[in-house]
Amino acid sequence: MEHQKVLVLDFGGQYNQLIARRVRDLNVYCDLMPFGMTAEEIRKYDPIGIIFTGGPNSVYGENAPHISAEILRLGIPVLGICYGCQLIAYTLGGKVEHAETSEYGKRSFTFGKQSAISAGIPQTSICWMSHTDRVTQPPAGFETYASTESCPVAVFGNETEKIYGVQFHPEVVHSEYGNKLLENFLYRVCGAKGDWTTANFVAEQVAALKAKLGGKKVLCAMSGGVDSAVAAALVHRAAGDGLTCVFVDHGLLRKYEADEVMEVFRNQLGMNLIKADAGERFLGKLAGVSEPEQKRKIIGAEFIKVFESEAKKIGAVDFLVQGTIYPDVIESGKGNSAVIKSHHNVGGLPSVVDFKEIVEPLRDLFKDEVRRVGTELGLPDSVVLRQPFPGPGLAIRIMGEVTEEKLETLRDADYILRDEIAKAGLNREIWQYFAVITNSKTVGVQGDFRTYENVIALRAVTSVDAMTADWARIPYEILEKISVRIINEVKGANRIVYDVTSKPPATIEWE
Amino acid sequence: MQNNKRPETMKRIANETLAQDFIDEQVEEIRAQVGNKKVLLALSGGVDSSVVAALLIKAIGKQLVCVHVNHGLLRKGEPEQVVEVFRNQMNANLVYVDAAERFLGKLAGVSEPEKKRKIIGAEFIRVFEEEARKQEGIEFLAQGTIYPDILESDGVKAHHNVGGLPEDLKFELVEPLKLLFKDEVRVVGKALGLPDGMVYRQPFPGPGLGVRCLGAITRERLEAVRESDAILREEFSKNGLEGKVWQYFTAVPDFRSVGVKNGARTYAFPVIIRAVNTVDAMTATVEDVPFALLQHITKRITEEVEGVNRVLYDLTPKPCGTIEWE
Repeated sequence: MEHQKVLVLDFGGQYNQLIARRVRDLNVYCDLMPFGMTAEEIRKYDPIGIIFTGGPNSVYGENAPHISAEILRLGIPVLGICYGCQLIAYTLGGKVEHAETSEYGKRSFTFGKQSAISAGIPQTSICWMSHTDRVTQPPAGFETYASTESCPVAVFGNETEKIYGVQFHPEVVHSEYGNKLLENFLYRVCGAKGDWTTANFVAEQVAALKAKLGGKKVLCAMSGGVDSAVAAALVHRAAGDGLTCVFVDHGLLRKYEADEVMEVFRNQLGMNLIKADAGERFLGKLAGVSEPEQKRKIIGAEFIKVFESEAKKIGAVDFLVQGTIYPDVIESGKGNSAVIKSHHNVGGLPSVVDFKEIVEPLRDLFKDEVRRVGTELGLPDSVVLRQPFPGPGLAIRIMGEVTEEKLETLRDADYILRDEIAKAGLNREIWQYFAVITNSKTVGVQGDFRTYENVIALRAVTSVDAMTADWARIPYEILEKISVRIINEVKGANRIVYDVTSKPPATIEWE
Repeated sequence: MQNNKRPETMKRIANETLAQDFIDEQVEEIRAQVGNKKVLLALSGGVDSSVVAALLIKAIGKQLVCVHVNHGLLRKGEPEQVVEVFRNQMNANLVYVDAAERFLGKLAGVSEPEKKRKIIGAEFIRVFEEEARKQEGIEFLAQGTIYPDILESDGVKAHHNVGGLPEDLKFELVEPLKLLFKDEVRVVGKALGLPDGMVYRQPFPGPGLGVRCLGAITRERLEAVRESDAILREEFSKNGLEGKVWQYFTAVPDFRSVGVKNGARTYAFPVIIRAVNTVDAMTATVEDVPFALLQHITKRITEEVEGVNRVLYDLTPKPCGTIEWE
């Protein structure tokens, strides 16, 4: 697969993955790599452009990450963002100073001089700033293109060297023309062709996988989640009946989920799909267990055992498919310059399967790209837009002991929540939403009777990367509708609370 | 006033002048009824008992013996306010009983709500009885009975706020508010110079925070209820919701969930916020607290209250959920 590549060098800023996603969204492939790459390594990687990300350090700080000036002399265009912008100035002999007050939030900035990266951007527009240090004098041979009231050098560059620095964050949506600036850098400065598209990816991957997997035996564990579903569908296009999928139904899935997996993958796509009905087995193992960590361990271990016994029936295979995606790859490569370990997202599976090689067809993709590939492959929205769902499933949304009765109550309550969120058209803007059944019972009145039933908590959060999350501001009338429906329709629930805590200090899940 | 029926001609006490007339009339009646004898009053710090106390202090001064039993389940600042207002400002004869340890001891390990209520109720009577026996020459017992109490009991039987005192402690009742509605009690209280915080105090259950520290009461969770409740009340007051929302409080359940603080895992209790409106306390609707305020309160509670990492907002209308959790 040959396509143009951009290198995003990571200096530790919180929006770094976002920068990479923006570049990908502009149809240019990029990799996010630790900042320590040498000029030689970069030359070998052969990018059409380099982007330096922001970061928490000050260029004069003791342990501040620096770069060799050689990188800026490779003849490859460079765009430095925030810290990356200060780093360019520092490395080439410009001046960076500590400002007395931080500049944080939306600011108006004005171009005093046009350049390739300002094409199509109004002279004055809004950008998003988050910095204390700032460039006060660009290096020799560089020009200042734009400034804000408190930041004299907001954009600077050298047209011949094709090196640019921007103090603000073009990757953040609050920067009105941020995306335009990135597009200018990619297309006007780096000469991007826009060869990174979902259709191209699918065509190239299927061709490559066909060459590799043709006539071989391939095994895939399906959880019902987006990643494994898309990986299986992609491999299926290439390997056809050579692919066998094992779907372990641990009985802890959401309402109708297991049925839907069977419907989509076996009936519609005609896949070779084996379903292991292990609900009772899992419930039996979980009886009397209320400690969250213990529940997780039991489910994880049991999952592998069930998968193992299914895999034994199939026998030796050539390849094991894993739904590893790019953020997993970045995570496991952190602080380990340029060395990227293979990330096993289904912990422990490789040890119980007799296979020769692991295939990770999605390891270059971000989550939103995985979803687009799923859509391109014809998977329904219900699969492609599925929310993140923990491996131990509903078991960790039942506080205390897991019982069939509580599972039933939770499944029904969770289904109503999802149904109403979808009806209200909020399912795309809310990152994750689910119900939790607490192990607290309270008094209520239903009709003329006193009830003593479970408290159900509703959790809905918005997030960019799940590292931090904000509770979703769902309008009260919708919350009321959901509560009333749950109380009236679900057996075993008489009180509903809404979790109004962000992460941190709480987490998204409860256990 | 032997008659328990409010005369149809009686005007609704809606202003200071009418309140003053009522106070003057009651002062006369109380003096006529009591003479130079001593009157005992269980002063909880709630609206009714506080207004009765202020009225009797005006009428008979130190002939009134107020007993304030602090069962350790009061809200933050409440026992201190009772001492400040009645002992320091009104110079009342106030017996302050710190029975917190005694109540918490009796409640240790008890998780069943009805049992908790019974223990608190029975223990309260016992403490009050002990104090009553220490007093010499008491012949009257004052009570904060109000007209809705009379109506609820068919207007026939006397309604005993302090029920369950043993047979040998039979006092003659003094019930100066028994023909008044709640709003009138507040107007009279204001005219008597009681602070707003006392006169407009929200309804508060007898077992106090004991029924908001869900399940078996522990000191840690009881403190979490008290501190979070104080934050909620302070923020509602600052943001104009005091007096607008009928009742609001916090509860702390007996389960924990995972959180993260300074990069480390926490396993702590949630705080539940309940804020409801009602016309008659029979049905209640959930207040739409502005999200920005809710976020601010959550932030304060998770930062300031020990052992708490999550805040939940109760969405349940009554019916199906009751206003209180236990």
